[in-house]
Amino acid sequence: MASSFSSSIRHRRPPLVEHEVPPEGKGNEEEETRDWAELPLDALLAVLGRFDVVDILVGAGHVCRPWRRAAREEPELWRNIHIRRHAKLAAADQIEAAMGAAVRRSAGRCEAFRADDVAGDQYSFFLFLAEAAPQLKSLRLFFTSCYKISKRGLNVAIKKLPMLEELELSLNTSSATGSGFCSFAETCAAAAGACPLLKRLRLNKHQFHWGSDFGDSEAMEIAKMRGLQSLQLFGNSLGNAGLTAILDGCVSLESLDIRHCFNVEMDGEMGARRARLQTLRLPDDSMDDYEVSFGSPVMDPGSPEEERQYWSPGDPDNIFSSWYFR
Amino acid sequence: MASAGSGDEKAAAAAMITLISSDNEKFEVTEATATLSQTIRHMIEDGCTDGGVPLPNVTSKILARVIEYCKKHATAAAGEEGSSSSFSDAAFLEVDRAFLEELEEFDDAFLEVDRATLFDLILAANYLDIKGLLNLTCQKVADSVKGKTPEQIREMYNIVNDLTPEEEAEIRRETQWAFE
Repeated sequence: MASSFSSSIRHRRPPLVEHEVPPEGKGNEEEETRDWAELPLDALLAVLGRFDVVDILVGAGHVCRPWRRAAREEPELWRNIHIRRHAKLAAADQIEAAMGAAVRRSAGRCEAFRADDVAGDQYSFFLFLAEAAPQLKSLRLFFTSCYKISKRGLNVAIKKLPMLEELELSLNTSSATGSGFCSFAETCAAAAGACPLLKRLRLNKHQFHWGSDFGDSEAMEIAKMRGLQSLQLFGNSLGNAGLTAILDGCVSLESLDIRHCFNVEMDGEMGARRARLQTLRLPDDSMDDYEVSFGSPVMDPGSPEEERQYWSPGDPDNIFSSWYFR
Repeated sequence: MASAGSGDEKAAAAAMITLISSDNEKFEVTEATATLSQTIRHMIEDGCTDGGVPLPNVTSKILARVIEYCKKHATAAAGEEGSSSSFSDAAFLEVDRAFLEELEEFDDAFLEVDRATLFDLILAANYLDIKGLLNLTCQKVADSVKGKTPEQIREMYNIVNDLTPEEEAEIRRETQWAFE
């Protein structure tokens, strides 16, 4: 450690005596340079570890040989992969290429994979992920569309990820307005069967829709996840039967968030069942601390006026609701 | 971490440690400040701090900055450890919000340094194993290279391109997807 430290300080211009504070008023401090190519590996990994994944893949990872070597040959750097929105990720195949390259560099050691703003049509990527990241503990996907998602790819992948402890499938942009109709029931069934360690599940729609036709189908599969401790279902169409199944089936559940699940009615019986939960967010609770973007709920036009108060006719983002209220 | 008896802990809180920079300057700091460094914490636990802790890798200029950081953050760490059970409590956070904001302002001001100093701080934080400082300084580098091309980064950080033409060609193939 000691030797690598001193060797990494290099003075290119007028040399200063190492470790000596320059005399005051000499003003030569600006000329002091350091060789960033020679950061000791552990410090370099600390630096690169904070870079955006895509930046490393297309920029910072090609600055010089030591940086390139670290970016390519240190799987540790790729244990936790987060693909964020990036200017280089304009097309779907660019996102797929970036995701693939990142997972490949983890050399099988990737434990957490998160991708924001994916269309979800990456069938072959999902299959690749399951093969290339067998130790995956956390998979979080934020979809931009609810029509393109390759559920088949997702389901096959999840069946091959037995270490999974955390799963998130969220529909988080306004282009996912039809999300109320997007069911992950089969994916939940796959996870319930193949991921015995699953503790945390987030399955968030972009908005609640009264006309969703999958009802309790996701809830009934979630109810089979015996080890689940934390569950977030935003805008889900589940009703009391689904919620009862979850509370009965998920015996380890400690935290439940069912905000905007307006088919649930909290009655006395439900109150008794939920008593063991440490945290509970109800359908009408404040959305202040909710991290994902969401849309106003689309309520049944046949229901009383006060139940529809969420919908505002002037909301330009809410094309779906205005269509339903026409 | 706080498993020692409470009496010992009190005594430890008041104890002073002498840190000796590479250019032989002595800095006297409280143990609470010094133990933000895991490296020094282990030295204290092993009882090898009598007569001062020599830090041959850290100049007095950088050590002074590191100590400045640790002093500020030791107070925050003390609050966090002392009330670990209630730290997530909303009321506790509310009370502490002003202090956290102050800490953030301190961090921002602390980072206003030239690249050579930033480099030295990263090495010192890494060597002394001060997680918060390493986070802070590395994040500053990460933010500065966001969206930049390799050439721009080389210019910013004075890095010589030592890649061979073969490697350059390989990189072009590997990253073709990003430039189509």
